[in-house]
Amino acid sequence: MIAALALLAGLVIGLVLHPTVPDGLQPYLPIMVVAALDAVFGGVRARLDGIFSDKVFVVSFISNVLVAALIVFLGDKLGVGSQLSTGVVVVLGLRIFGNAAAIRRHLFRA
Amino acid sequence: MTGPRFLPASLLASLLEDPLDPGYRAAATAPPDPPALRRTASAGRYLVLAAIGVVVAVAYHQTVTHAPEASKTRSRLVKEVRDRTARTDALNDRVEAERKQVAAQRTRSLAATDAGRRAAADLRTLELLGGYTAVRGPGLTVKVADGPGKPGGDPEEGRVLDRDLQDLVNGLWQAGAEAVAVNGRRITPTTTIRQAGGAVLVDFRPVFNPYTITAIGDRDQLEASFADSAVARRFRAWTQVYGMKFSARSAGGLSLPAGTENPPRYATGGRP
Repeated sequence: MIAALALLAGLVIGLVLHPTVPDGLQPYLPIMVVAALDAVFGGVRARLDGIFSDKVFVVSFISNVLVAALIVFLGDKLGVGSQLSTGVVVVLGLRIFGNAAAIRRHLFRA
Repeated sequence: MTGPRFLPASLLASLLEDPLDPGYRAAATAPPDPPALRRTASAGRYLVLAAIGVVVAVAYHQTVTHAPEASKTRSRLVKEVRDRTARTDALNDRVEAERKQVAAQRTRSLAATDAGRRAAADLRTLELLGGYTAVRGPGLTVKVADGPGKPGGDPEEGRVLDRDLQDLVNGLWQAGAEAVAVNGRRITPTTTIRQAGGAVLVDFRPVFNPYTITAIGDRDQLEASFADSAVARRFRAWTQVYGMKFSARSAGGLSLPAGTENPPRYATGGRP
């Protein structure tokens, strides 16, 4: 589908051009990746549930990334950066697993 | 951000049971959006997917290029250590060669007079006792090695420490040794045996397990006196308890290298 192609195109562009990440953004890159994965899994599950909405998908991705980055940034300023970062990754990871389980139930009726 | 339209009774429970963003459910029941908004949102979907692809690729690329960074730095440091050690060794060899030249010159000029010849003989004895010339002779070879420790206990207990090597060297001096070396490093009056991290340093150079301590002196007397010494008895006990290795055998034709000379900076000669 076009969606998968868009994802693939993004991957190829990233691998071929490999844009250099500005030093200030480097610590937020892993958080952004996890937040992006959460949005993707949520979108796929919504699609399988039949209630997918583009608007919600776009907004959820942007807000996930921004909120996660904000939490980590705040944590860094307050001295609990690594703990909050772990917390964010744990929570988003839980959501990813939950959505993945729901997707699995859809796909394999198991 | 599309906030939750309800407050879950338990945050953790809701997280585990229903991780779907509640915005989807709300959007499903809400009236449909105007087509303009839907088109923008549709385009946004593809943009977001492409952005996700780029972010994932960049993160992967970062990890891949930075992982070798740590090992590259390490191998660079290792190489630097090796280079500097080689340079120091070369400088030491040069010092040794020049000292030999100076000694030869000195012997030649001292040989001219009787007093000079006596002084030269005294000097040779002092150098030998101080450990600044290579020596050959019969003596004792003591070998010790780390053991596995007590069965079921801490394996660190079986390690040979700098203290042990110091005691062994002192025991050999007491038994009548005239020259001692540890793993080929000659012990001079200013040589130290100490521990840094996991390695034992003799004269600030690391020596490794197993350790061979050679001493030159009267073969039989050395063997007998050393075997009776407190440190030898301790080590024999440790071979049983910690599984360490210990052996002391007399030998002939041992040769020990010269030790490195450290000219004194603060000690001045003269009357005490």
